[in-house]
Amino acid sequence: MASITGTNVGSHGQDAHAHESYLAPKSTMWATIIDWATTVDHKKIGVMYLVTILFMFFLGGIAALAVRLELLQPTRTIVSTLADGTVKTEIVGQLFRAAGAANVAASNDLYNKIFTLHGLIMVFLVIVPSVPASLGNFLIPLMLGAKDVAFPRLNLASWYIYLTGSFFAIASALVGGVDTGWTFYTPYSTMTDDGHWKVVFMIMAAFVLGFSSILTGMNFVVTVHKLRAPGMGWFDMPLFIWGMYGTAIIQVLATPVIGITLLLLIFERLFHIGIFDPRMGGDPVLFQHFFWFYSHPVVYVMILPGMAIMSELIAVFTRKKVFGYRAVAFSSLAIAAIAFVVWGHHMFTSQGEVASAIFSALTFLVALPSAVKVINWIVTLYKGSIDLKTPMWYALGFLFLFSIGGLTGLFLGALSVDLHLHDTYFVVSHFHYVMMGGTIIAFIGGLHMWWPKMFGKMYNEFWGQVGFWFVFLGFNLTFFPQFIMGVHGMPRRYASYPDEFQIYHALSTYGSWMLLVGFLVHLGNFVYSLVAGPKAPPNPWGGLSLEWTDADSPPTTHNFDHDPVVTHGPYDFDDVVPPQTKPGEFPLPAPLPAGVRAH
Amino acid sequence: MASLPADKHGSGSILNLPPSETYRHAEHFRNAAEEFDAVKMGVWLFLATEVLLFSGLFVFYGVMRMLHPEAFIHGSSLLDWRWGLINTIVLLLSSFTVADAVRCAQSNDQKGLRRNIIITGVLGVAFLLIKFIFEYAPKYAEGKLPGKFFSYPNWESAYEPLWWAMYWGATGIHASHVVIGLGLFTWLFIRARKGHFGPKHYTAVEGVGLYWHIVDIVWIFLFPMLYLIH
Amino acid sequence: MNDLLRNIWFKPGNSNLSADVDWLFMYILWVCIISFVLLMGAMAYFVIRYRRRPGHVQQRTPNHNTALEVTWIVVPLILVTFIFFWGFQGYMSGQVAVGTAERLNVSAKKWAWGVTYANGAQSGESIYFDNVVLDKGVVQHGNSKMPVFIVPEGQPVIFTMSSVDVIHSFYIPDMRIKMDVFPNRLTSLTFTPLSAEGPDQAGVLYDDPIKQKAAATGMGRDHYIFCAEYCGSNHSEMSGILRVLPKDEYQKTLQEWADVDDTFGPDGVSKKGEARLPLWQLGQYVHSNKGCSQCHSVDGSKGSGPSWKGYYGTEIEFADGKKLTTSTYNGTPDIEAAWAQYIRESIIYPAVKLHAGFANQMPSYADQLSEKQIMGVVAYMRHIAGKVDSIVPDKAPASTPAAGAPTAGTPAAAAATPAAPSPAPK
Ligand code: HEA
Ligand code: HEA
Ligand code: CUA
Ligand SMILES: [Cu+2]
Repeated sequence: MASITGTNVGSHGQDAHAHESYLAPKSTMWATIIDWATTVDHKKIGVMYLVTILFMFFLGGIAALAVRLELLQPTRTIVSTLADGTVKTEIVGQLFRAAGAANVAASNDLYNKIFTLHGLIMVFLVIVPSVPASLGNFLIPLMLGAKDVAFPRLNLASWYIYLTGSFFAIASALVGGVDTGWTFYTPYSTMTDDGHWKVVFMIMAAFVLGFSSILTGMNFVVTVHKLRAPGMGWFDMPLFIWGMYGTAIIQVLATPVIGITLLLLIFERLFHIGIFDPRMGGDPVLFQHFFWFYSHPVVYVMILPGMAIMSELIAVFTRKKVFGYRAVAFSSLAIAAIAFVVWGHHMFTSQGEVASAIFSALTFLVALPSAVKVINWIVTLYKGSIDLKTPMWYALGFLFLFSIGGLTGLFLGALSVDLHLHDTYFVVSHFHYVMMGGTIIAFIGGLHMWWPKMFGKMYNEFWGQVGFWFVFLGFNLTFFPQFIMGVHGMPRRYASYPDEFQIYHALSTYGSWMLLVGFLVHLGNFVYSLVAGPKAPPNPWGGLSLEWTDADSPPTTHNFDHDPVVTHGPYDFDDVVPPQTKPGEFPLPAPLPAGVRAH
Repeated sequence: MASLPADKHGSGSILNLPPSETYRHAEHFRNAAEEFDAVKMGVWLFLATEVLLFSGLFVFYGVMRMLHPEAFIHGSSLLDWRWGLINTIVLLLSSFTVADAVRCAQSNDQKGLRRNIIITGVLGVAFLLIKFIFEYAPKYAEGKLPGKFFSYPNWESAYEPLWWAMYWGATGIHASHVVIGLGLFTWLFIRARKGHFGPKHYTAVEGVGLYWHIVDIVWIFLFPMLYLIH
Repeated sequence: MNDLLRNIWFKPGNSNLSADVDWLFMYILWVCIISFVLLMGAMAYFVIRYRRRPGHVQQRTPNHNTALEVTWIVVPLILVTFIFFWGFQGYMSGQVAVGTAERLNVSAKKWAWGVTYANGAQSGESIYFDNVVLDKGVVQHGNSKMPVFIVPEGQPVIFTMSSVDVIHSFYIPDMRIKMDVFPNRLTSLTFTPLSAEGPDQAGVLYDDPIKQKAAATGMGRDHYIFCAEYCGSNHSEMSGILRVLPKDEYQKTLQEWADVDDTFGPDGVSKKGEARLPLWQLGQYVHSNKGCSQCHSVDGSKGSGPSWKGYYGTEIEFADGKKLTTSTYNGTPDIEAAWAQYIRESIIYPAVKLHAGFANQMPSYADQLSEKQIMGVVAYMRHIAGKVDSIVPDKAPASTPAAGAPTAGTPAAAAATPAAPSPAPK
C-alpha cells in the first residue's frame, strides 16, 4: 500500500507529468504496466474495468450464442421398426449431443451449464458492475469537478476483488461448470454435484463480487456527498450523478444480505447445516426470499445507471434541459426505495396468497417512477435540436426497447397472469428487453458518447450507426418471438422442446447471429479509432457538464488544470454556448414568447 | 482498515515534529477536515453493511426458531449463559477502552493511546480464548455440531442440528469479526508507536473504534438470542 | 382486431380460469399498445420535426410543468390499479375449488410426474419406471415417455402435490395454471377442465394405443403438462399429457387402469409395488395394520390419540392454543388442503404440532409409510368424514386384500386377515 501512496497519490501536484494526458505512457513498457497495475487514478481504473467488463460480455455472449444454437432445433426421438422387426429409436436435433455429449442427459447437462454460466457472467460480471465501475468511475469525479473519488486505493482494491471474483467464476466453469441456474435455488443447488468444489467456487465468485460492488458503492456515495466542486449544489449535479447515487445506495444496502445468504449456502453445501434442506427441517423457500430480497433491488442497480446515461445522452444531443429535472432525479431515489419491497413478485407460485397480493400491488407502484422518467425524456425532445449521431440513436433505441421490457413487467406483476407466465420465455424475454435492451444499449450508447473523452479519438460515425441498426434489429428479432412462445407455454431452462415452438426458436437464433455481427462492428470501430481515429476535440458534442467544459480529451492526470468552479447548470443550453466550440456552431435559441417563464 | 486514506509524513519530520502534527491530507481533498468527514462517512456506510449482514443472520435465526421452537428452546438450555455473560462484560470493557483511546488521541496523550489500544486488544483475545476453551472445545468434544457433523447422543428434538448450525454460524461469523478487529488493533498500535496520531489526525483510531463498537453491539444481540431466550 | 391479436398470442384455453386470464392479458396488452404507440409516435414525430439541420435551433420551452407531470403519474396509476385488482381477483378465484372435486394426488421426482387416482389407479410413474405395457397411461412422445393424466370433463379437479427430491413446478399452459411442488410440504392446484372435444393441443403423439382407440370416436382432448421449475438434467423432459375425457369414458378408463393383473401379497401390497386399492381402503388398511388403530379409534371412542371420527376438516386446537386454519400452512387455499398438510406432517414429524389435550408420544412413521400410503390415510379420514374423493365408483371388494390375502395363505396373511378392511360403512 505504502508504495502505491508514494508513487501516485503522494505525487499528485509536484508530478512533472501532471499536465499531460492520463494515457501518456511511462518511459519503459514495464514501467507503464506497473503504473497501470498500481494506479489509483479513477480514470485508469475505469478504463481497466471497461476492458475486463467488455471481455466478460464477450464470453457471456458466446455462451448465449451456444444456448441459441442448441435451441435451433427441438429434440425428437424417432421410433422406427426395422425390416427385421427390431425397434430402432434415434434422437435428433440435439446439437451438443452431435458435438459429442454421451447421451441426452449429458447433452442436457451441458446445456444447463452453459445457460447458467451465461446468466451468472452477464449478471454478476457484466451488467451489475458495467456502467458504474467503468463509465461511473471515469466520469463521476470529472462531472463533480473533483480530482478523484473519495477513496482511490479502495477503488483499485475493488477492481482486484472483481478480478478475483471472475477468476473463481471462470475456474468453476473450467473444472466442469455448474448447473444451478443463476438463481441458485435450493435444495437443487445444495444437492447437485454433491461434494464437488465447483459449485462452491461459483457461489464464492458471487460472494466475492459482492464486496467489489459494495466498495464501489460506498466510494461513490461519499464522493457525491463530499467532493462536489464549489458552487455545485445537489440540484446542479448532472442527472448521471443522481442515477449513480441511487445505484450506489442500493448496492450498499442490498449486497450484504445476499452476502450472508450465499455464505449460509456455502455452509449448507460444505457442512449440510440444513437451513435450506427440508429433510433436516430447513425451508428451501426461505432461500428464495433472501435471494430475491437482494436480486430484485439489483435489477434496479442494473437499470438506474442505464437511465443515468440516458439523461445525459438526451440532454446533450437535443441541447435541452431534461424536462422535469427534479422529477427525474427523485424518481431515481423512489425506485431505489420501493425496489426493496417487491421481491416477492418472483415467487407468486411458491408463497401464500396474502404475501402475493401485497407484492403484486407494490410491484405496480415501482413501475410508476420509471414511467415518469421515460415520458420526461420523450417530452425533452420537444422543440430541441436533435442531433442523430450514434449515441442519440442508442438513446432512441433505449426508449423503444426499455418501454417494451418495462411494460411486459406489468403482465408479470398481475397475479393471475403471472401464474401462467412465470418461468416461461415471456419472463426470459422481459428481462432481456430491460437488461440488454435497457442497460446494455444505454451502456453502448454512453460508450460512444464518452469514447472521445476517454481516449481522445473519434470513432467512425457511419460504422457506429451500422452497428446500431444491426444490434437494434437483431435484438428484436432475437427476443420478440420469445414473448409469443412464452405465452404459448414454452418453459424456460429447457434444453429440448415440443416441435410447435421451433419456428419462434429458429427466429430467435437467427437474431442472435445478427447481434453478434452488430457488436463485432462496434468492436472493430472502436479498435480502429484507437489505432487510426482522428484526434477528438475537448467537447465534440457541445455538452455543458464539467467533463466537457473544463477537462481536456483525454483529461490530464488530475483532470483539471485549475480547480473548476461551477457557474452554470449542466443543462443550461438556452443561455450558454459551450466553450471550445466554434461560435457559429451553437447559436442561442430565440427568447421565450412573452409571458412564458423558462424556470 | 483499507478505507482509510493515505497518510503522508513528509517534510515535517525534519523539524522533528511528530508526524501527526505535519499530516498532509490526500491530494484530492480540499482540506484535512473534508477528508476526515469523508472517511468518517465511509466508515459509517461500511458499518451499515455490517449491520445489514447481521440483521440478515438474525432473520434466519428468527425463521428457524419459528419453525422449530422446541429444538431452539432445548438447544439454548444447553448453553452456559455464565460464559456468555462474562464475554459480554469483556467486550463492553473493551468498548470503553477503545473509546478512551480515541479521547487520548484527541488530547495527544500518546502513552494513554498505546495503553488503551493494548488493553482493548488483550480483551479481544480474552473473548476469543473464553469462547474457544470454554464453549467451542467442549461442544466440539460432545459432538454438538452443525448439520451432518452433529453426533450428540442424548438429543431431544430431531432439529437440534439446525439449532447448532445457527449457533456455530452466528458465533463463528461474529468471532471472525473479532479476529479482524485484532488485526486492526495491531496495525493501529504500530502506527501509534510511530506517533502517527494526534489531535490533528486520529481518523484511523476513530474508524477502528466505530468498527469495534459494532462488533460489540452485535454480540449484545447474539447473547440473549442464543443464551437467554427460553 | 382484438380476436386477431388474441389468436396470435394464445392457444385456446380449456379451463374455468383460462378465459379470465386471457381477457386480463388482452386488457394489459391494449394498455401497453396504446401507451407505447402514443409515446413512440410522439418520439418519432419530435425526432423528425426537430432534427438538427442547418438553420434549426432549439427553442426555449418551460422545462417543467407540475400539472403535466402529475397527470402522467396519475393516469398510469389508475390503469395499473385496475390491473392489480383484476389480477388479484382472478388469482383468488383460482385458489378454491368449486363444488365437490375430483381428487388427484400428484407426485414429482427427478424427472417424472406421477399421479394416483382416488380409486388407486396410477398413470405414469410406476409404469413409467418399470417400462411395462405402454398403454397403461404412458405415451411415447418426442424425447421421452410421458404419463397421461386423465380428468373428467366439466368436473372440478384438485391436484394435491408433493415432491420427493427438489422443487418442481406443475404447469398446464392450456389451463393457464401453475404451482410449485415442494419436497417439504403439500401444495395444491385446482381448476375445472371445460371440454373433451376439440383439437389436441399437445402436438403430435407417437404410438399411443389409448388415443388411437379414442381417436376413432374423436373423444378426449390432450394438453401438455410441463415442469416449470428448473430441476436438473432432464428438466426439459419432465412433461406429461393431460387428457380431458367425458365423465363416462373417464370412469371406464380409470377402472380399467385400477385392476392391474396382480394379486396382493399378505401385506396387502401388490407384487408390482403398491396395492391398487381405492385410496381410502388403502388408508383403512394402513390404519388397522400399521398400528394407527392402537391409538386412533374411528368410532369416536377415546384413545391415547385423537379419534378420527368427526375429526377431519374441523378447526382443531393445538397444544399451543393455535387453531388449524387455512393460514396454518402458507399457500393452502382451503381448510382441506391445510388438513392434508397437517396429517402428512403429523405422520412424518409428530412432535411439530400437538393436538390439544394429547401427549407427545406418537413415533414418526417417516420410513414406514410410502407417500401413497399417506395419501391413503388422508383419503380414509375424508371417507370417515363422509366426503367422496371421486366420481369413479369403488371397485368391488373382490380384488381387495380381504379376498386377496388368504389366497396367499402365509401365516402373515392369517395375522392380517382379521384387520382386513370391510366394505365401506355407507
Ligand atoms: C434491468 C432489470 C430489470 C428491470 C428494470 C425490471 C423492471 C420490472 N420488472 Fe423485472 N425482471 C428482471 C429484470 C428487470 N425487471 C429479471 C432479471 C427477471 C427474472 C429473474 C429470473 O427469474 O431469472 C425479472 C422478472 C420479473 C418478474 C417475475 C416474473 C416471474 O418470474 O414470474 C416480475 C413480476 O412482477 C417483474 C416485473 C417488473 C416490473 C413491473 C418492472 C418495472 O420496473 C418496469 C417499469 C417500466 C415501465 C412500466 C415501462 C416504461 C413506462 C412507460 C412506457 C409509460 C407507460 C407506463 C404505464 C402505462 C404503466 N420482473
Ligand atoms: C445483462 C444480462 C444479459 C444479456 C446482455 C444477455 C444476452 C443474451 N442472452 Fe441472456 N440471460 C440472462 C442475462 C443476459 N442475457 C440471464 C440472467 C438469464 C437467465 C439464466 C438462468 O435462467 O439462470 C439469461 C438466459 C438466456 C436465455 C434462456 C435460457 C433458458 O432459459 O433456457 C437465452 C435463450 O435464448 C438467452 C439468450 C441471450 C442472447 C441471445 C443474448 C445476446 O444479446 C448476446 C449478444 C452478445 C454477443 C453476441 C457478444 C458480442 C460481444 C462482443 C463481440 C464483445 C465486444 C462488444 C463491444 C465492444 C460492445 N439468455
Ligand atoms: Cu422437474 Cu423441472
Ligand atoms: Cu423483480
